[in-house]
Amino acid sequence: MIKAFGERARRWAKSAHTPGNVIAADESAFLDAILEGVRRRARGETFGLAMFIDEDPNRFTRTWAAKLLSSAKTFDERRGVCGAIAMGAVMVDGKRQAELGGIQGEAFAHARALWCLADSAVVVSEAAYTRLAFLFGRWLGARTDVVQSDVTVPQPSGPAQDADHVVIWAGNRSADEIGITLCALEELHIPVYVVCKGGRVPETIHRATVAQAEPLLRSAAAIVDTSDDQPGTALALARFGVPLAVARTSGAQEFLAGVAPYDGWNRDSVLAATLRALGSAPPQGVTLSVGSQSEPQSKGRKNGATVRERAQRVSVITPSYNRRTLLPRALESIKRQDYPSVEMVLVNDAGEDIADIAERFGATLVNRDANGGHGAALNSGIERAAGEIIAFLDDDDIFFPDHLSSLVDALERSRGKAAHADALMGIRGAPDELVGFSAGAVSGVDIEETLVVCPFLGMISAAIHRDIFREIGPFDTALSPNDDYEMILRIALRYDWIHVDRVTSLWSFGGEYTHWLQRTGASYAGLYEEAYKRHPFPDRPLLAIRRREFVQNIRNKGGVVLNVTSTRLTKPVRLKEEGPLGK
Amino acid sequence: MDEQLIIVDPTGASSAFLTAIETKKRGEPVLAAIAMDDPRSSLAWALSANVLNKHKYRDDRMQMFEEIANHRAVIDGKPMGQMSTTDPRAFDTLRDFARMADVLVVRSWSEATRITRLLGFEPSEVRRVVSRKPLDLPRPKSDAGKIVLWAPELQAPQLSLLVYGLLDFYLPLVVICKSGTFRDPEVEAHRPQHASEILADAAVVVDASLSDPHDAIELTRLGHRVVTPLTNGAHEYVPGIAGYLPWMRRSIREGVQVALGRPPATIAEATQTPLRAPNLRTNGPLTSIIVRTHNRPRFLERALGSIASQIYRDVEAVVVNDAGEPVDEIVARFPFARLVVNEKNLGTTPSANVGLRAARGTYVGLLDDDDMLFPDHISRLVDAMERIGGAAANTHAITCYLELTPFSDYAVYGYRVALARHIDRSDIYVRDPIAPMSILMRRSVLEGLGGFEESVDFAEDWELWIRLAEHYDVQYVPYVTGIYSVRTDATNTVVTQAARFGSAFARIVELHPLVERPQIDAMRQQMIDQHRGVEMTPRWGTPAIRFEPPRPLP
Repeated sequence: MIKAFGERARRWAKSAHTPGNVIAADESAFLDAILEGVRRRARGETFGLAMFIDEDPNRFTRTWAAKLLSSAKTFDERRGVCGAIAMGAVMVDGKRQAELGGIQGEAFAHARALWCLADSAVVVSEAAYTRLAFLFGRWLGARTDVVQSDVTVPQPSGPAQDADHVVIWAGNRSADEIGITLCALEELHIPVYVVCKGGRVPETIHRATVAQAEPLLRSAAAIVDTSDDQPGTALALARFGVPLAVARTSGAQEFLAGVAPYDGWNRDSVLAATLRALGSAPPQGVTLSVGSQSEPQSKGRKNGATVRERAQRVSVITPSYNRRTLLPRALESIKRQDYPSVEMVLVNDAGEDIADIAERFGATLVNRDANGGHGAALNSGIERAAGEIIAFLDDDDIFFPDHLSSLVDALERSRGKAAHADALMGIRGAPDELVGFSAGAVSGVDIEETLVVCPFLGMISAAIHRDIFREIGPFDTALSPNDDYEMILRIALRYDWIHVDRVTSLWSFGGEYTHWLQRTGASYAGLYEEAYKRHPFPDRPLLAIRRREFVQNIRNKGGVVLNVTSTRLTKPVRLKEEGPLGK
Repeated sequence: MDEQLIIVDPTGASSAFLTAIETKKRGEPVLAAIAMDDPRSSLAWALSANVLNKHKYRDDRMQMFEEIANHRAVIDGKPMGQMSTTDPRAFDTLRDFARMADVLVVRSWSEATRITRLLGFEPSEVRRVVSRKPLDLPRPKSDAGKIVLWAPELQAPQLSLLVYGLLDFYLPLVVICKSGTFRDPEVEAHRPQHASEILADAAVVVDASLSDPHDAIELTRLGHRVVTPLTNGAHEYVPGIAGYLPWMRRSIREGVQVALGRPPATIAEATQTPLRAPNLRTNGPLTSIIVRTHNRPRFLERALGSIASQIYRDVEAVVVNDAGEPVDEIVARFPFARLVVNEKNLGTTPSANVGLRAARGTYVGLLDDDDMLFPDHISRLVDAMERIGGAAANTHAITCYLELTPFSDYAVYGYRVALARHIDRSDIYVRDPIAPMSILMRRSVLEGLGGFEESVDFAEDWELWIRLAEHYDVQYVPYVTGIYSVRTDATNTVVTQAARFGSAFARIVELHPLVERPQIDAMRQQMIDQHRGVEMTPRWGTPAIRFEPPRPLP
């Protein structure tokens, strides 16, 4: 089942019949797709992601080529514009073409968050997958190739006929999107037809609609496919047995041998490929499996939690202080874990009574006599915990159902003592509503970095063997609420942190929030300085400088600016008292 | 089909180019593989060795690795952005070699994208294959607990960045590399022949092959947890393999942290692209090749020999001897050749029309006496035109640079694939993109155009291409199918008469006024002004592949 967000994603979904859970999204609707993704993960589902992000020059072409070409009056002026675009030499409002083309800022942040939420990428070609993986610096654990023939392309109603023209296929897209291709073929002597919907077409090129296309395609000497983001259209057009020129970024050459690839932003290359296609042999299918797909796989979790012989007990420590409204949601998410042996340890840090909630969820309740802060509450919980592995969940956060099993699997496989997964950051407006999302810290623990700054979002992401605490001691309560950082560093200095590179929890951030920026309080400057004193490394002067600069930065900015970008949802999402994320 | 793969790295492009020429002359397809690492990665690794030598303290080193990762390092006052591990001239050589390839053989689609982007060329055909040679190494033991850096082809200094990425783990690190040791920091290093004992203890294997997915695949097949550079395309065969960005220390570390917690990956059934037999056409409509000759019997023999070797059999050659020394004996040796002798020297353009009048073929082309064709030339061009009833089609040619030796013989001092473009109806007014022999056209088309324009006594082929493009589309067959000779000893027609280029070009401009197209006309006027009274720089530039000393004429 595919749920599609955005027009291009819907267009793709129309002809894709993929098994399993798939979210398809293009740049116009990443945020809605994230919300859907979070809901699914919170329900314990995994999903494959079909993501549509154009290659930089294609993005530029899509957005700007039509505007630039429309201002050119003669053919030679259009050629000039195309030449400048091909060289990357265009400037618009003082911005270079490369800057205008790249995906940046918010759109990039959303895309990355979505990529990190997904278990597998549903990709249309190796070219597309490689590009996205490099863009986000992360290979997804598994993926499925879904190659579908574009259903807008008609079926040939008979054998190929005498060839006497070229057809440019844009399907239901506007001719304005393919201005460069049209300019490239404007001067051909052989008649040229363009199948498109609306837009400006040069005088020498004939226009046709999808409904009129079939006889034209059947008698074509060559077809130029203008799809630059998927090979499905080329695969459908190949049925006509006519030589084919394809955009290199479509990845069609991976499935069809003998196509002539071109770069859609380069007029010269379009013309060369078309002249090459004229008179070359029709393309041949390379793979026999075109149109077949496999079920999207999850990241090899099958051997883990479900077939566990002896599950180690995991104790989840949940400190709480006067948050009766949110607490049940957090505990509910522990209850829904697909891991068989979980103990809930609820620590009331001398707030209003929560005994009824503890009872409802069967949690061990630790009542502290006096409010001692985050670290103290965690320490009380660890003292009472019976499990061999300790995990942590603050009262306003939630685990996805595979959080504990993913972490325990990783610990067992690596025989490690400490592991952490990735978390998605949800930004809270009112106490019970989410107003935005951000890809939180999604990388491994690098000691060099950790000597200066907290490497991930805090203990929510971690699972730690209990005996570590016996060896290295409890949380340093003097550092609360930045005690997480010191503990992560203390562990990093003695053990290898294992990294589960998938998002398994939603960490709510209720701190000061403005557009683009999340900050903790200014008190963190002092707390970091205290933490550094515990681990001084006096023989490393450069480290001291880095630390000093970091603390100074906190003071200057009035808080730790988390190294993430985020955005607001168009409508805040109400967090229901029961159930991880409503619905 | 008997496949012989030519594998090239940037240092071996020149000799590979010669092998490719020999292969082409035999009429066999050139299958080329280009071993070219991702430039950002190889530069980062090269600089990292330097970091250990220059910076004694760990913090300084860490900072340098960070700057290398961000592509901002400055070494001896030179910013990283201005450095490359590959000599820029080697790119030129490689590009020219790559253009010679009929099939570019790659180990992954990632590699295909990287090579074509870096070299800036469009391969005629791409084929993806990876060899299935198993590694003779053990599976991991159940209690394996070491990190093994697998770099059997690399030397210790190249691995500095990798070693620093893996140093902070509490699991012990063992390196398998071709040579060298690690003293500072001290790391256990072994030679590949001792790999067997070590790999059994590998909890995770960090593969260091920047471009070749083979080892990552085979190690995975053995049940190892592998972390591999994201540049080598192993993910196309092993979905879910853990990867790292080779230029980034942190990413190397993270790759291991991730791999340790994952189950070993599995190999996916990968499709290997089948090699399509070229299926070259051997017969069809008669094709006439006009060979103009004037006092160069030795070259003439070579040119006719190259026509004799054509895979396409229905060929005639019309040799036009422009009142030079007799060549009857030579022509008689080639049964497909007919001789036409001009009574007095007419010059090159009228001689071409003499040849055209004598030609009987459906298709007609030019081959001057000092040039030569590869055996697939006519076959590929006729095939393209026959498919759609095309009027004309063009291929590519190599430029061969010759010089006269002290022994009055010619020697080759260089090559270049410069004459390798399609014909653009507008661009043709300002640039002659191809060699004279690279076009084949219908005789009826050429006759309809009135043959060669005799008032143009220089670059007459170009003038014809302009008229051709004004009336017909020229199909593009992007294979190198001929050798075009340039002699720098003052006997080459083009070079000796280079000074005449200006006036000839002015004549072409006069014949093809472009009042409606001021931009192009302005460019042409500028060209005339530039060339007036000045010796022209040859349009084919300088050789990309240069020999010292020059080699005998092929």
